[in-house]
Amino acid sequence: MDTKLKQEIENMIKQNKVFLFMKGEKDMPMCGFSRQVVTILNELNVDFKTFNILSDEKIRAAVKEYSSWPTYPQVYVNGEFIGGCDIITEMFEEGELQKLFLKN
Amino acid sequence: MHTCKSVQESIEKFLVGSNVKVVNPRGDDVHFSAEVEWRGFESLSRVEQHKKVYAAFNNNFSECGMPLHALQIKCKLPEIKNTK
Repeated sequence: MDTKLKQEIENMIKQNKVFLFMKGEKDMPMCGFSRQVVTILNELNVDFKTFNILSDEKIRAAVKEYSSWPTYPQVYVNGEFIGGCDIITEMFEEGELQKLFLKN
Repeated sequence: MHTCKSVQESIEKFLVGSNVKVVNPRGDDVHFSAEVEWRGFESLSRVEQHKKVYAAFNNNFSECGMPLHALQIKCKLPEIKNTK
């Protein structure tokens, strides 16, 4: 992967405790799965930043390569990839996500 | 074109011994939801478990369009059955 792109991704995920790569904007998700993750993070009152991967084809391809994860949304906590919509939903339903944010 | 059956077969063929249920919740042949039960998930993290399932499709997701638009995944370990 292009070093500059990798640096750009790492800046985003490391400078924000919770970071979400999604389709669309936080207040206007363009996909139901992205919307679901935004809803969960809002529900937990978590401060998070987002990047709209539909706005940048290079970042869109690079993030998938970075995490070896083929789909969006993608959630990062403290620079670490946590999961997509299914995992975030499962963790939320089981109370694990709440614990993760309490800890951090 | 994917069907529930083709999605199921792709996963079962790739994760040998898995038990897979696939539904097409919106009836549109592009959004699928799979429940995958496989012993091989043991000791893997959630992310690693899901990656195993994605690998059955060579990570070949178009996100919007073919070949596979959306696959919701639920990974489970098989229940240990009491064999007397």
